[in-house]
Amino acid sequence: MRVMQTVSEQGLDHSMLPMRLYHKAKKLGVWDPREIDLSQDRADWNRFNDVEKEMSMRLNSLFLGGEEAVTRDLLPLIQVISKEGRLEEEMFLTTFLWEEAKHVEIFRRMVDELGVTGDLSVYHSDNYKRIFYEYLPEAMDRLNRDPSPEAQAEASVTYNMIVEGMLAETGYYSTFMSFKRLGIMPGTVQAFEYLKRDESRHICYGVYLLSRLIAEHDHIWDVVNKRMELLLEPAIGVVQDIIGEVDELPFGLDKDEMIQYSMKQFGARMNALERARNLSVEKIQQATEEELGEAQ
Amino acid sequence: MPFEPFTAEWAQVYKEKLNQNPQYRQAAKTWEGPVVFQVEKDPAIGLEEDRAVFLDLSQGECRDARVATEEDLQAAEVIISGDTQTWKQVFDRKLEPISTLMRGRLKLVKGNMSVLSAYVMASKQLLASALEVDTEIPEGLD
Repeated sequence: MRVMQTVSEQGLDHSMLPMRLYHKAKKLGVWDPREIDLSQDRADWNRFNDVEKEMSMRLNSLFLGGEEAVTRDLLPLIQVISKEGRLEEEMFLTTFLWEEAKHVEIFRRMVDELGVTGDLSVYHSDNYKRIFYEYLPEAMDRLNRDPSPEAQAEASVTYNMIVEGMLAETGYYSTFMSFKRLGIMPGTVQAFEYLKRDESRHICYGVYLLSRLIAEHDHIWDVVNKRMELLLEPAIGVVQDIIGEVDELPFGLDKDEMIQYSMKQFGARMNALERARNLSVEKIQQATEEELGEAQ
Repeated sequence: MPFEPFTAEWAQVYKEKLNQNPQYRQAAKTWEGPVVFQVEKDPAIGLEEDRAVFLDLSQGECRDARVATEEDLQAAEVIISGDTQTWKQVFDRKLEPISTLMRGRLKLVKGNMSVLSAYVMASKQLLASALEVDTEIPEGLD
């Protein structure tokens, strides 16, 4: 028979990191994609030259496809966490999935508002497909049959560390910085501000989950490293497919800035995961976001 | 017979291993330019000076591998450097090469990461071949 946590003396542990992220999500994750004004963006878009339009749509296609993928693929992880009886983590994950759905909505809305039609998957390169069409859905779907710590670690590395932590975060940061510096696409800039904040919580949960798994089972550190090594090549390939497309990137997008930012974030998170080898689960549950490599 | 890393003998075996690696040949077919791997000095284990190997790489082939001279260090387009502990962990396969480079534990002290990242598979195979060399890590490293 099930045991009800919240009616027992245990109650809810509001001090746990996932619970703190949950409370944060209730305040910061409630923006409405429909309320973002894209009228100036439409005017800016109409003034873009062909190279700028092509790059803008390429990026949007990658972001939109990625957000659809993470929305469709997250459920098995929530199911596993739920079955393990981790109520606080599950409560945070309910905000996580809802926010991903809103990310799909805003990127599709940008396409629709700009009047772009046609099949945007033409922008999905082989490297992109390896990650979003194969590695990600396979790793997440595996959790339906195999909820082991190893499977959870491989799923989280793929989802949180590579897809969100490396690709989405770098893409959002670079595009946000470029548009903001140029004073263009104000609605998109506003959306990216929200997106970055949401993703920061999601990635923080991923680092927490992996840290907990490493603290519980030391060999998971090797699982994490091997999975990371496997995925880094296509992940860097996705970035290269974008920055290698033209000699000079439009919008002042800076190749070196993208790579440096991505490496900095990657390094901070890997250092946090390595530290988890010497920490207790209790210590990880009480960790701050900064201790898990998240600046916000 | 094991060789101490980054010595002349080690470099020669490394060159052979690299030229026998078909994945490297394929991945590096558009890669041109010398690369140096360097280990930082560590007097605690008797390594009084930095030691480095110079790899003359051209389109998937290693034309020469030798202990790097001062001129080689000047000529190299890419220098990847690490301390003895980090290299030991890489040779022991306890650290994965690309993520170690991404984390900055192996440092790109010369060269451009955005250029190097175009050759991530070639870089991975470059390091994979180094791990194929029968390497004797100096005593004193735990």
